[in-house]
Amino acid sequence: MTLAEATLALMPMHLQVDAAGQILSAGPTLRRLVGDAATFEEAFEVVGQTPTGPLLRLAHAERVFLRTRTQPAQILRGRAVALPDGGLVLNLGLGIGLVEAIRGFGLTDRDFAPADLAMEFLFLHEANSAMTQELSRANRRLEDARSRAEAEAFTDPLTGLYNRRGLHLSFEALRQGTLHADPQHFALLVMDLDHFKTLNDSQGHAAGDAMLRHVADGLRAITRGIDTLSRIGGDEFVLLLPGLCDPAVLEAMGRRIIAQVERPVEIGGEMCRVSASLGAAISSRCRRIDWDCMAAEADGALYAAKHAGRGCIRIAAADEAEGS
Amino acid sequence: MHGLVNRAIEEFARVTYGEPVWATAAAVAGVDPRGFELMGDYEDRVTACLLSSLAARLGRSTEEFAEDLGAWVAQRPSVRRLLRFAGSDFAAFMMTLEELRGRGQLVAPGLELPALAVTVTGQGWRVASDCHVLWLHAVTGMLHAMADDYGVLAVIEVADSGILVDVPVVDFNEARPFSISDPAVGAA
Repeated sequence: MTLAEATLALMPMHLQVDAAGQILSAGPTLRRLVGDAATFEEAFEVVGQTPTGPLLRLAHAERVFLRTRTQPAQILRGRAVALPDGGLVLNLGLGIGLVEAIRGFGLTDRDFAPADLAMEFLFLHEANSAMTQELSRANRRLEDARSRAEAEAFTDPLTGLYNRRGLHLSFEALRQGTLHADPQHFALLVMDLDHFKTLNDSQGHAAGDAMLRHVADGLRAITRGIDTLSRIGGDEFVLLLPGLCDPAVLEAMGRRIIAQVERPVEIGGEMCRVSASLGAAISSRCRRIDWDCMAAEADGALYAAKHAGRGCIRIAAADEAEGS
Repeated sequence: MHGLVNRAIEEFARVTYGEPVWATAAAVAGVDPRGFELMGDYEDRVTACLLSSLAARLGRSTEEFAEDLGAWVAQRPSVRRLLRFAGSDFAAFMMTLEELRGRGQLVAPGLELPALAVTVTGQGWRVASDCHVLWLHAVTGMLHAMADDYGVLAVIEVADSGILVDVPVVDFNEARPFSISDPAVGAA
């Protein structure tokens, strides 16, 4: 074996052509990439240079880039050296397109010279995607934990309704128009259960909790998706009802809520029943649409409802709003 | 110890023996039962304590547990692929074990896998290392799994601060299929 033959044997990606472009020798791996092309022209398109001219011009460039005709997306890069008889020897490589080339041409580790870093490149590529996958799984876990913690911070664990914090955020969103298109028109409803303390005292806290859940379920059943339902302590519920400004409609709504709450429920083998008193404030009747002002109006109305014998709804009047 | 190693122990315990086993062992070792952070850095005694409490909970020696762990890790599809990249047959794979540490560094900076030195013996190889003896057992488990993967019958055991790998039958079984380009091949 001559030195020239030995050199070519070491390069599975080499190409030797004569001055006319006839392929005299091609490394076994390069052969898989160019198919049975007999000439340089059939195997490659030169990238980034004028397409015509003697092949010898390639020897002047520091690097040549060649597009394979079999898979035009695949660009090889390498170096060309001129031979005294006008022919060329090229040593080519796959560069960054390695992963695609290996898939596209079905190459294996035997197709690369042991000195080639192709396998290490592939190893890194796989290690990288495996690590990324594992990291994003860990991230998802954290994200789940975070949103659970967030939901817990805004909700009442017993009933699943908003807690005081959730209610305030919801009120602000409503006031600023992000919750409903019309921020000027909504009702704030406060509700106290009647006879709840008696139930709690006679049947125990577990029965009281069951009743609170029953009331929450009832509220969910007869309200709309855009309404805000909250329990802000004990048996005290607050509802925000966007778009509801007509006192007659609001009153009808209040009566439906009371009827729903009054439906008897079996708790621990006994039929239990509570009622509710409601006080409402309407945003358009209030001097200022802010939490303190509206809550005070609604609390006043609730007091009036209790005073009127419980189990009813009272709505804060416009002139009272002016006076407060 | 690198979070990746601890995560492997955690996942192995959870998947193979179930949540209660993991939770008890984690509590004994003072580890957050929710699990390790992948890129975290933990003190070695945490890992040691976790291994011995898991082994105790399962009624096995820590050495046996480490060996099972090594075999299990080597059978995870992505790890198996990374290991198979090292060589086209078991002999080539054995000779590139010396690169294991370097390859670990490529996977995750700071991942300190043991440095192994491989010499050819009459019927196989001897793997020498001055790493912790539990690492030797974990590597032994990994080698068992890879010998199976390459279809080679091998007797592998820890001996004299090293591992002896004897291969009485090279073509014992068909190797499991593997393609460097297609992760689906041999993945099942």
